[in-house]
Amino acid sequence: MPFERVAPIMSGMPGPLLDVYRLRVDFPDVVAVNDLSLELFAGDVYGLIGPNGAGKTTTMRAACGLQECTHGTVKVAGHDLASESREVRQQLGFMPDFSPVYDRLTTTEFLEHFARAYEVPNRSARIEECLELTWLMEKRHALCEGLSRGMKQRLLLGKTLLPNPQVLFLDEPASGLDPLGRIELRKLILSLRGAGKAILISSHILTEMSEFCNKAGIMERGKLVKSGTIAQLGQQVGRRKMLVKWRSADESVVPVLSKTPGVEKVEAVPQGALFDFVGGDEALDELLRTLVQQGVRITEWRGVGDDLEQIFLNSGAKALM
Amino acid sequence: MRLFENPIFITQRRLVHRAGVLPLLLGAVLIGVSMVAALYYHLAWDKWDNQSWHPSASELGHEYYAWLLVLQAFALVVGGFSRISRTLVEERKAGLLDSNRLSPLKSSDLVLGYWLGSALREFYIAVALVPVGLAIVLIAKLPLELWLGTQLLLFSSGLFFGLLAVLAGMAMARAQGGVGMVAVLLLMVPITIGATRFALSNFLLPVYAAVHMFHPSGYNSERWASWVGFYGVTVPPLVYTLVMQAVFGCLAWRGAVRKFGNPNHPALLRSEVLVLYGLLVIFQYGLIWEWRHSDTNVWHFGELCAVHGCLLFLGAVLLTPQLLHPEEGRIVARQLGVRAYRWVLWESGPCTAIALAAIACAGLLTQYVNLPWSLPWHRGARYLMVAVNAFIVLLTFALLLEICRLLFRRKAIGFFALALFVLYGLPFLLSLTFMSQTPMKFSIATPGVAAMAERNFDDLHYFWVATGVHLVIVAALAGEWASSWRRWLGHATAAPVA
Repeated sequence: MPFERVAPIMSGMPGPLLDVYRLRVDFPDVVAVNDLSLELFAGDVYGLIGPNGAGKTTTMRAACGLQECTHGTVKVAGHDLASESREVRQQLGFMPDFSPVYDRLTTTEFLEHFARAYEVPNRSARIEECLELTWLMEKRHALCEGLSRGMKQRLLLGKTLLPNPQVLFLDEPASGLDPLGRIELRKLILSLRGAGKAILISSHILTEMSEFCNKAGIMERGKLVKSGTIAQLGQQVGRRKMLVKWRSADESVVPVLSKTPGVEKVEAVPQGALFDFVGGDEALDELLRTLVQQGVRITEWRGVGDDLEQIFLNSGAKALM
Repeated sequence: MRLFENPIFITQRRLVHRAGVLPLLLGAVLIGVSMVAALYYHLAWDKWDNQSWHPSASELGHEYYAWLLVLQAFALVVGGFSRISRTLVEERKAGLLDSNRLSPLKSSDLVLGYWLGSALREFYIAVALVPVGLAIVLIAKLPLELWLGTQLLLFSSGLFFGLLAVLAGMAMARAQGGVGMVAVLLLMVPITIGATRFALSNFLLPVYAAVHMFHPSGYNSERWASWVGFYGVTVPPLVYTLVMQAVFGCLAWRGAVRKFGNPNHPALLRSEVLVLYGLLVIFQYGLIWEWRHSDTNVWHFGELCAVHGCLLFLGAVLLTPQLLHPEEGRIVARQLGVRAYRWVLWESGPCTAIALAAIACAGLLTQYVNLPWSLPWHRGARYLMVAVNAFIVLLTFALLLEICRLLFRRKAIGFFALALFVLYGLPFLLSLTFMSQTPMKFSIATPGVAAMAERNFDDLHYFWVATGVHLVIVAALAGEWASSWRRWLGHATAAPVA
């Protein structure tokens, strides 16, 4: 699979690739996006999560200029959306949560249409690359109307990657994909992340997002209520998963750990334990100090990758769904 | 970007070709060839037959060529309009238009692609019939200018209405067939026949120029035979039509480009609306200049009322998209805070209405100078009443619609129609019910019409009273409008979020 074919990011881009500042979108009777700010740097994959109607799609549409915003600024690769919209559109790829395709064109012709629109150099070669990237090489002469929903979704992903944009907005990219397609999508996103793209992604499949997002934000009623790295988010919602390991096979530590306030769901692992901790940094330091004072010879003490689903559920957003 | 490198044009052409062009094209050619064969047969048969009367070759040729032009116009103008607007509505709904708008293509490239690419099938049909027309003209020994001029008019009209279709496609919520356009054209038939060279619509649709080139004979033929009088200068109808279509086409182009840039905004800026309306008024009053200045003994009351009324109606049509929506006000209130109220006062409909009314009145003034049968004072009084009435008509329209939107939101149109009925129609209904002329004098439409028609100047004072009442109504509406906006903006800035 030619993931390495994704062109590397242009160098010398010290600032954020996507800088959204105080974005606000008003709809009749509702504020769809309310003073939302976020920054994405090269290699960031930012998961936007929230219940239906939270404003995820509107955020993406407003950030790429399809939705008029009340106020706020959006900068893509240093270009301001309001004053340099053409440059922004060159650097931005948006994949919506549905599949707008020309039914009576073949997949190659569809990509050719956008390759011309984006003035992509070496059009034919690039189209083939994108068809390969999205596993549609076999369907390159098929009419779009004959494609399944998942295939249309892949074609749209191919269209989004075609001009090699620095910033990608993927709205529910996995919807309609079969399990294999989802695995390939995950690999592709990781590959894009490795290539230094900044990706804003929304999805309802939070477990999968955990695997490729390094940052996430939780939206509720148009507001970004929590935002940061996955670990920071875990802290913000007051619960984090910790791994502790010690030198010898000391089984007495686990009961001690279980009785400690703030420690939940203790799970024994070889020469150690995994547990959920509810509390702040000071409380966690205190727990570590207690274990050391009790003579536990600790070899490893760290937070482990939090599960976005758990973070989302702990954030209270579930109540809005 | 050149047309043949424009991706929208290339894709639209591809879609048209894929859907199949040949059967329709062959059908059109077949019809055309049949017409040529029929004409040839009629002309040949005429030589052998001994009956006393036959139409001449020229008459037959004119008839056949006219039918061919109708076919071409139906395909290119009606069919093309329908195709372009439908393509845009469908692509907008499917999300394809957004995908194209997100690409670095300029708005002008997008407009060009859809404008010239979507209706290629209809264009091919019209083009296939061009040589058929030439054959008819040659066989019937008609002048070649007829063929050249009418074909030029046909394709210029195709382009002009294609641009209007782009605007319609960006504005319409649902895809339309050509039925709506055919209905409009049918509604315009009485105006077309009655008004000949005095109606602007006969030049935007190239009716007058086309008929003029046929050199019609018979009843009323002189009404179609003369050149166009424009403020006393005579101009060939073909030239006048092409200039009109070019001028209004430029404004339509600007509107379409702006609409592609931001579909949520009106197609034209306020300044462009004023320019457009000014051009409409200038062109229209230029056409009827001779009513007052070469035909001074006749006061064309009915016709002038119709022109003035149509121009006010057009003013209201142009005014509607310029009116401020409550949501726009709310957004501006969020952006500007307390300064939003001043912005609303300046940017909202009533200001535009005043400017449009001023333009309409300036145009009308050309018909009130040099009246031979009245004293300057009487002339001035009559003009003043019509002018004040024009301001009242457009101001009540703007104020009422904005008030209804602010107060009733989604039910605004119903309440707006009700208010218009009360102000315009109800007085006439009361007059009919009570068999008295007094109530109808208080309809908002009456003083303007009466002041144009009334020769007995002593009766004018009734209408001054009615105008006074109308001014009070406008003042009351303006007060309610201002307080409604103030309340709305206050609520918008103070309302808790979400």
